[in-house]
Amino acid sequence: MAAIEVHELERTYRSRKGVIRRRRTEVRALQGITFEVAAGELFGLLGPNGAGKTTTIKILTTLLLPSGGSARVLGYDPARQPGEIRRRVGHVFGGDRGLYDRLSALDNLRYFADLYRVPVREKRARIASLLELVGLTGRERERVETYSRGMRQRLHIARGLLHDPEILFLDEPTIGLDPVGAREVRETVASLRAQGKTILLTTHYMYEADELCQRIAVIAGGRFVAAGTPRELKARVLDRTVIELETFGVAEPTLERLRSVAGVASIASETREQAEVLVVQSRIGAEIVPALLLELTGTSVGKVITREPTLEDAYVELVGSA
Amino acid sequence: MNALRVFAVGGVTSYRALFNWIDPWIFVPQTLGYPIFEILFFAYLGRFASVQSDRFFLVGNAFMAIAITGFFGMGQAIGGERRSQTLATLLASPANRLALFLGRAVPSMLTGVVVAATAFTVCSFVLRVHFATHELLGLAAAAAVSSFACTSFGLCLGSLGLRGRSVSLFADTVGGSMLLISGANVPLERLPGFVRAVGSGLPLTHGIQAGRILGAGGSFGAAGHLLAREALVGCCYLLLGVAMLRVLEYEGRRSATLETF
Repeated sequence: MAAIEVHELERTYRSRKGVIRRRRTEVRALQGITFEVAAGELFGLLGPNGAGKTTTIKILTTLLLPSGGSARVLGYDPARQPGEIRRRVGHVFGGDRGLYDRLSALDNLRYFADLYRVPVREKRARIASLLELVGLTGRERERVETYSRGMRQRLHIARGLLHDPEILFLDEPTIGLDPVGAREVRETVASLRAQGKTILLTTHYMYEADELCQRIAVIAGGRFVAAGTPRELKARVLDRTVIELETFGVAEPTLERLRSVAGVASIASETREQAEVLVVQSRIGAEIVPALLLELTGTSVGKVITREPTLEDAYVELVGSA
Repeated sequence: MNALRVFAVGGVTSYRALFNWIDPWIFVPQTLGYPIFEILFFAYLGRFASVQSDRFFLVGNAFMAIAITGFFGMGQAIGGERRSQTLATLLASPANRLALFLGRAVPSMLTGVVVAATAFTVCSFVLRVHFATHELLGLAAAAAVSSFACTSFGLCLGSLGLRGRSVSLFADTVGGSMLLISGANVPLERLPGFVRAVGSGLPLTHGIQAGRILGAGGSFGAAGHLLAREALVGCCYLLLGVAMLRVLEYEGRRSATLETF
């Protein structure tokens, strides 16, 4: 039996706007996504903002009811058997949510240990070992409001593991962290994976998914796009060459002309520091560069780099074509 | 056993975590100062208008202090979690909901009683109103029952926090209207019939009446039926609050309102 089974899952958010003329609006956050996570697997759910990642996690952690489809977590239905699931899973939401700032880390962990029914006899040892795991030993008596974002996030992970859950849901655990903090969180997640914990991780950082996940599902606009190992997903663009052109202010008509150049599979525009970088996926290798530069006549062009495709390129291709 | 621990230890921990007035610089002026000035305001107004005795306003408004902390303390038990963005984390846990939220009631009730007792003592001294020991014991009993009833009503208000964000508006409106409806500042017999009917279904109304009888040296025999009604009103709101917690948590999951803040 898979640890997590999601079948044609749907969720529609309905809201009303206006005071006198009330208008109903509907947002279809999930439009029938399907995937499975095996026991002991670290599975990544990838997608841009608004793809439906957090909605999926909220449904699986019993905070939200689905509008359609079905889900099973350890064989239990999140909609009808929330109590069974809550006892067996842990969750970590990204950002600053979910901790009491005015309490110390130790008091936070003690409180949540009670909520998660950790036996009193085991509580002290469990908290000590988790503080050790997340590298907060010695800082546990300080108020959470004095913690850096990275420390908070590691404390979140400790909180999520208090009851030794069979599955851990991590919703964008490195969002907003500096590179050092993010690396520390990734190391913690990697050590959990090594312990055989089933983890569902959502992220929109490709290198994070590439580094940590055994399998990945890409979703966009609430729809399933693709699934596979990072290697399998990368293989979809292995025949491509990626050309990065550093430019300064490329207008939309120019981008359209570039897209129509023979051999161009896709173009994405990214802002990096002061420059705009055009990431072009070419089907015919670097020979395409002169044609691209010709279309950019009159535009200031800096460095031009040719490289092998990465998982991020595969992701851009998948999401772009979704 | 775990539910008991969540009720007792968890209640105190969450009170420390969320109760914004715990800082003495905020607690003293806001929680203690307000009821003292409210009692004195109505007492001096009563003296000026020659309508009721100081004792009438002292008892009525000291009980109002209990009501306000009960309404707001419990009303904010869930709203505070929403504001601190911990509500989802809390509700994703397997903790017993009744123990979880009722645990927050005990510190709220104690705060209400301490605030009322302090305001009562200070104002008795300022207004030179004296009570015999047996009168004070009677008042304390009526205050305890009223505190329970108000906290139960606060549980109903608090459970609305699972569905929406504006619980404090409700609590403000109810708290303000209680100044009149409960008979704290106007004798019930002078209120219109429908207002009296509404008041009899709300906490505090019977408690204040019982408090006035006991505070004037009356026996528990004379005030017993009022205390029983106050306790009954409290029990009804407690049951309603528990039902509302269940229904509104489910409704929050359905309508995705558990995480709006």
